[in-house]
Amino acid sequence: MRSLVAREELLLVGNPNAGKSTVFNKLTGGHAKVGNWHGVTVGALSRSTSLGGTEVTVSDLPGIYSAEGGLEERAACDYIRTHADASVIFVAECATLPRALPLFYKLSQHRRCALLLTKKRQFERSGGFLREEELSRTLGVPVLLAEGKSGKRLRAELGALLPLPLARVGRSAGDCYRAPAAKLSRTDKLLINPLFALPLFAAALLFAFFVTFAPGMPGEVLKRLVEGFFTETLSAPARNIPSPVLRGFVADGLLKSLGGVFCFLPQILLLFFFLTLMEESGLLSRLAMLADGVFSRLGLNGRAVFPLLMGFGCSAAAILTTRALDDKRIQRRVILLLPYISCSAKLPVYLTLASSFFDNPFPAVILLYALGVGLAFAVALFLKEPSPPFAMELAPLQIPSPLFVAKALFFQLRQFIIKLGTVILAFFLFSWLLSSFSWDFTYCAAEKSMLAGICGGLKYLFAPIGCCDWKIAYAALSGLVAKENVAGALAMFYGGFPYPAASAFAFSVFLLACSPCVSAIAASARELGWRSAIRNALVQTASALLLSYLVYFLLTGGGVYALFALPPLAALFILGKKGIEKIRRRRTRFAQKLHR
Amino acid sequence: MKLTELKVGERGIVRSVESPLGGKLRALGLCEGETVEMLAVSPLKGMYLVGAGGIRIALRREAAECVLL
Repeated sequence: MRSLVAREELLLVGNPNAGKSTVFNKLTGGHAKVGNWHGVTVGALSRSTSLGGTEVTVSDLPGIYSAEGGLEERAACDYIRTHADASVIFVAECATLPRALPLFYKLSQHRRCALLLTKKRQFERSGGFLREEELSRTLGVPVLLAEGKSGKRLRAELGALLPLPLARVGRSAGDCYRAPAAKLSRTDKLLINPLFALPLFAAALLFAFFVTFAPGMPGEVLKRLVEGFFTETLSAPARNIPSPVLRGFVADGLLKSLGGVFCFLPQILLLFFFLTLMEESGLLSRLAMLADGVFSRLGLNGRAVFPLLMGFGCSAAAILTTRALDDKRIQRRVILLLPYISCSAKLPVYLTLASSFFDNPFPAVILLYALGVGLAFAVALFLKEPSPPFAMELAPLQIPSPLFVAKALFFQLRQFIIKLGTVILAFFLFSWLLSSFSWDFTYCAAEKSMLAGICGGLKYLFAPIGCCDWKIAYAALSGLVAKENVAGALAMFYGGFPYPAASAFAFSVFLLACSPCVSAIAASARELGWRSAIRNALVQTASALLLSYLVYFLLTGGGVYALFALPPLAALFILGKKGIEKIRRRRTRFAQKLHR
Repeated sequence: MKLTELKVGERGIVRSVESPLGGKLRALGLCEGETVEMLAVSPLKGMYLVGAGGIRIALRREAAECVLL
């Protein structure tokens, strides 16, 4: 006789930054992204686990302030409505319980539910007071604490409560709860003072870049070690392979390509380390508040800081986090800006190109990053619309947990290795085959290969920057799959960059401004639709080519002539902006006519 | 009086929230009857940081002007 296993569905619901994803990870052993920021979780994440002998599907939903909120909030409420039989675990921070209770009351009607409280230590340190047992009696639902409990213990406690009781949730916490004072600490007063905080943030970012890229610094030292491992330790035995085809594949292809990408892993991890520290400590929240003044002049708001900073890590992930932006128009514009923010995948390419000319590539790399940010701001100005009213909650300041930071880095390391072992390796194998064999499948030099034939036509696109070369065209094309492939392709063909510095810089500018990789295009299509995503990618690539031509022209002595080009360029900018405003006004009038 | 007229350290009780962001502000904690305290004002008066029931909310001038005390 088969035993029946009870099945349950639990929805983790609550305000943003309440700790739902942390609870999800504890209950399921999952790896939902967590962070000290409102809007980290985008989209529902579900996973099965066993709680007290019951098979349970736990779903982590994006944070909700109210059912009438932004894109993600409405999506989360729709999810709750369509899963009418699911039980609700309302996750709330102790400090924000009074705000959360009206939402809990609304969502828990005619549902099985429980209340899970987080961040109690912080709440008590700031002067708050709470008695859980009394709260449970007052509210009429089981109340659990999440802090300081292992996943196993939390699963056992929750499992013992299943099935959860039908709610008769009270609206108020009564006398068993006292809110902490909202006073600002001395540190907080400094961190929201722009005269102190903005230079501090700028210094922190510069420090992060310095430690990651500068010669003699940990990032660069680790990179050399990894590089040496591939070029010396592994290459030496590979050179003794008797078969020329296999030797070419392993020594000249595989090790060069993979090594050319893998050696940047320490620097990528360092960059993610600093980003994680900023996010987890609550500094990002304060930066968003300070940056709102500038961002509002660009037609954006301070919350755009998070996806833009995430863009330094990964464009695709950054595009997904734009869902947390309340306004669809702002979301669309931020997605258009993100390709100009140099992601970590472009870092190997910049370093490969800069290292071909400079012993210290640090200033060149910083210049490219700064240029990317400048371009993003220019595009934001070009597309500017009036910014709607804006409000946000300030995340608490906290010391990042070393365990949390280590887990976040491990997750990034795993993602990188998976990408290296799948997409990049597959692309390398594909490109090595095409570049080593002719159309009649004879092993040949690269110039006579299938790849040379396919990319032969594209090389003329790069003639104006002094590198009319099918290998450069191929390297640029390979960046569409993954930007790291550009470094791998250059390493495979040249070991560096064989053209003058002006061409290298112009090529870097092209890579900086062109379409992002297919992952980012797919993420963009999810938010904006495929037509918009592909159109944006084509426009970005075309404008990137033109920009690279202009940069090369300026660097090769055309600077004087550029002075004459400035007025028509400025006129083009203004006319283009007026054209876009005209199109918007026509669309608004059309939409108004439709609604009458 | 408007929320923007509160000086840093001063408190007030929210009388009404007349803003396109009204639902969001109420959900954040700026409800009618709630006591708010002005915690900080950015130098160019672009952003106002208020405390309400243990929560810190940063809001732009246009949104803060719609909160009446």
